[in-house]
Amino acid sequence: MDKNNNTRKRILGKIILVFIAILYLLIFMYVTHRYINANRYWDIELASTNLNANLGQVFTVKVNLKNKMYFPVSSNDGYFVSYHILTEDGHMYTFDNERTVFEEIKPGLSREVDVLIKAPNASGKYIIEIDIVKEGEYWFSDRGEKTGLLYLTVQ
Amino acid sequence: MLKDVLRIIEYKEMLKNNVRKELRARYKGSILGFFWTFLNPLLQLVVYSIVFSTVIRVSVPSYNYTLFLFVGLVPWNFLSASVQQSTTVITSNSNLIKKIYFPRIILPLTITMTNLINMLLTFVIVFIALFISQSYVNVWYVYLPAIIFIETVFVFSITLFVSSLTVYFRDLEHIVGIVLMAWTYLSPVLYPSEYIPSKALGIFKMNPMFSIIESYRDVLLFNRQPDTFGLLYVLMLSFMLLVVGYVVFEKLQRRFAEEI
Repeated sequence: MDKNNNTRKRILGKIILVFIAILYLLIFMYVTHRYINANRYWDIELASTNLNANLGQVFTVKVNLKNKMYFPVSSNDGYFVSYHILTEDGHMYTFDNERTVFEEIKPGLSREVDVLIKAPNASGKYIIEIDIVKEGEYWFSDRGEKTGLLYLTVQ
Repeated sequence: MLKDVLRIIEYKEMLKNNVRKELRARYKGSILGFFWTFLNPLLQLVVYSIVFSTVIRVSVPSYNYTLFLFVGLVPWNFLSASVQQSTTVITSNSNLIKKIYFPRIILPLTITMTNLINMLLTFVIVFIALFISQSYVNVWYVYLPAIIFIETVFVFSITLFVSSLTVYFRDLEHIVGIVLMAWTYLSPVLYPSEYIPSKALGIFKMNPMFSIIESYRDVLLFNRQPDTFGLLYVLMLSFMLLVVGYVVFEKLQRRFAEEI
């Protein structure tokens, strides 16, 4: 009887150990994914991801920018917020659009910026990709950074 | 395993004595003695600083390159010295291993602890340099003990593998030197991580020393919060390596006396 109990306990112990190991590996995979795929220079977060607009309407979207670089940046240094417009099926509609200026953001800190957007002159569904541009040099999305996405319906 | 951890606690006096002996013996007979603890990294810093800021012209916007290098070099030396020394720690203590019983794991642990103390002492110079360059204590310093702990666990896990495997495969002593050299250039010790191409960044980030060095710089130099997920990644990886390293060490240590 005692022997059976001991065997049962040992098996239960092993099952718990395997369960903990699997759980640990799952958490590790999640942490690795979050760490490896994190943006390097900026985190771009939008207050709302779905909006409606009229043809050619100019409106603003609240965007939270986090500076992940180790030096302060602002539009005085040539950095601007801008966007690309894509059609619903992911094709580029207009690449280069209006710029929005922002004040200095210190390393590791965030700032909310009202990004100016002009809706397309044709009705339909669009994807607006909020991106940062170093004027005259590069777009951060070209450096592998994830953009902020806004789904826009133009009527 | 828990029993073995308790056994190490029983032998903590031996560990303390070993660390003390290591720290004293390292510069025994030299004129400057213990000051070499500070002089070594400082001289290394001078050489790297001249080569990388004047010849190769690595620049770090808004920051002094020498200070940037110093903050990365000190934790790097902790790993590098520990791994290098662990290649001979078993063979150089062959008399001890053959004559008396003690948990063999004390030997790689001694190496890790000695180099940890060395790093902490060198950090005194780093803090003075930071103070002179007007980079003061900030709220993110609370992360510093955690970063040091994570690095120590990682370093210890590597020394477990290297110290035990070298007994059976002596070529490892020379291979480790080459691996460490490559590892130095593949970690952002001498250059900012911004120099790494975006396409290769994911692979570079898998190197645990990437996150560790970046975290030290974030806290000490850039006054910003280190990447929590990066630290968590290294911590979890280090614990896994520690468990595997411990199992490997325990298996291999049974025949240490015969092999050496």
